[in-house]
Amino acid sequence: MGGRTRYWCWKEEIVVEFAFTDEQKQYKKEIIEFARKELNASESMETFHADMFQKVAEFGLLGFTIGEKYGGLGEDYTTAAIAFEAFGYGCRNNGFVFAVNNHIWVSQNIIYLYGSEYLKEHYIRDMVRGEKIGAICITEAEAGSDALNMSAKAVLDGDYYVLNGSKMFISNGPIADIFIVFAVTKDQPEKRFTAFVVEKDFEGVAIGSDIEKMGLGACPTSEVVFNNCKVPKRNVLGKLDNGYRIMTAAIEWERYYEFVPHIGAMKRIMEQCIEHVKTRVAFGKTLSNYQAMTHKIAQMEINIEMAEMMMYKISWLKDKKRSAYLETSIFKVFVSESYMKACQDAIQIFGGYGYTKEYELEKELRDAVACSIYSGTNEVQRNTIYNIAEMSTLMNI
Amino acid sequence: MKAIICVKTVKSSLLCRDHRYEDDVIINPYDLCALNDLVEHKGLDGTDLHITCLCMGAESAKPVLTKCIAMGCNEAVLLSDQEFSGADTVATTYVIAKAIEKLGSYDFIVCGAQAVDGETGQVVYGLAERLNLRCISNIVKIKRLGNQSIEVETQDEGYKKLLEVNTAVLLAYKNFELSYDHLNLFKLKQARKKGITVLDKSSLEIDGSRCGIQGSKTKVVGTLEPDIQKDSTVITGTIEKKAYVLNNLLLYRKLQAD
Repeated sequence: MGGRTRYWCWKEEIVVEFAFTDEQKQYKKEIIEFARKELNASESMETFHADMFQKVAEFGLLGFTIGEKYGGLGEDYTTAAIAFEAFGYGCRNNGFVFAVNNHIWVSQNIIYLYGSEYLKEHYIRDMVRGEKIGAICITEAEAGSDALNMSAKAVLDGDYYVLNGSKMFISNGPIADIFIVFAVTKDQPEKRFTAFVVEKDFEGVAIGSDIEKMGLGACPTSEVVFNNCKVPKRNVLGKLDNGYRIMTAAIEWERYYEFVPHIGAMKRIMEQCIEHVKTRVAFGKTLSNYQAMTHKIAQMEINIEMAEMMMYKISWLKDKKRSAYLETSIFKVFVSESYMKACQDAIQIFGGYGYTKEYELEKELRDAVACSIYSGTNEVQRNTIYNIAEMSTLMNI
Repeated sequence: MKAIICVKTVKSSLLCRDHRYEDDVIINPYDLCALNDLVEHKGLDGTDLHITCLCMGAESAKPVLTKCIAMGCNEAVLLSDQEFSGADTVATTYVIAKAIEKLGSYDFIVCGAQAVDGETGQVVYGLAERLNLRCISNIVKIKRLGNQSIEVETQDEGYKKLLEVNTAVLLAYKNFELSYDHLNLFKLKQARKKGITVLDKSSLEIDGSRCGIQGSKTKVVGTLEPDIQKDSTVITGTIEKKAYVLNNLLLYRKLQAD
């Protein structure tokens, strides 16, 4: 891959350099090496291990885009995309990758980008060091896809907001120390939300037990209940009643960086399939002689390449501090469906062996199925994409 | 205290590992063992340890040297010149010894006992001879760095020894390691900012006829797979026939043994 490409985006010419810098190449190598060496123990595949998280912190991955002032590496978002794709490639523990990304992109990153100096000083260093784990609380039992229908409420009482409500399916819930919680702070004339930074040890916080899921076992998930939880006023994240803006931003980051590692996972699965078809013999020939097998692998490669193209465009937009709402929506749908397809095709290529636990392909599929649900279901994403496409047509852009 | 660690880069394909290396060249595992141990002593023992990493090799060695800096070496020097290529241990020790003389004063030198590619184990002793240093081999670890002495642990034929040696000494590590201790992205980023000094033949001011192939007493003309011949019988036929014959052969051998 190399060279420069010009293409049009929203009537603006963009020039994109696709060649990796030496630094980016080195990051990629080191992260793959680290992940393979430290994070792939088979006994850790279905449970979260705090010592693994600490190793990731000491390695420097948690603070990848955080400024050096707060103990991070201060790298740009394009380099981060390359790094986290490598992370997904090297680490076979998809649940653990999910837990790490939850902590970084929808908790730590949100405080870093939208928090006050007080919040950044108070939380970011500990989060970069892995001493405090973050999570985000949006979904409720009766407000999933229609998150704006949430009922958690926060009412001002002196120097505190008193928070009441419960949030459901909170990734990292059982292990988190810091929650970004969205609650209604205004009902009239229209519903308005505010984002709060809530510590696990605040009075009134109760965390449920780990919910047993189909996959992503190493990322614990639970209900989190707030019962007259007192949150100091200075823990408001962003502006009061402006939580919707924080929420859409957080979801945009989630739809990007939660899915970047899946491209790495697809590469890993594809390589496994190629190795298999070159050695497995049927009817006197290796499977690589049968197009029914090789075309599936070719489609994996096509999907990986297209996903990477989108990845680089989105990271370019993020480095330019521009919104990528449409792009991340498309990216999420495409990567999630490609990933699930890759897992299903891999099982088919491996045949009976693919159906066994030994080859871990069934685990990959169980982990992948969640992709079409979290960060906003693919059905909702298609609604969003259609709405934006319709609007742009009407505006003649 | 000033230490020099001599490292070599080797092809990653030489090591049998469960997973692929992403780098084509890596540090010789015996040198890595020495490096991991040496950097532990930075900041310990009350001494200020300055470490220079020295390597004779091609440009491809630079990422390895960057990692050595990330591990804790204060500087890295690459001896690189077309005329150094093809060197045997005689020519190699000549160039490295000259480079060490050029670097100036030092208290001790550290290296792995051998490299996984050549496995001659001669460079350590050749270097000590050229620099007129005592060589302590079978080093397991450095226990303590004093002002003008070093306490080391050695192991030889099952016996562990603790030795205290005066400085101006060469220490050869007997063991190997496959991974860097405590390497992280922060250290790598800082290391990349530091440059690597490259010295060629002219900057070392050395005799070209004693370098590379010209200066070598031996020349490697090729490598061959070992030719192992055994008496064997090939059983042919259908699967059923082969299984029948093999079963009978094994029964026959069992009867003979009984």
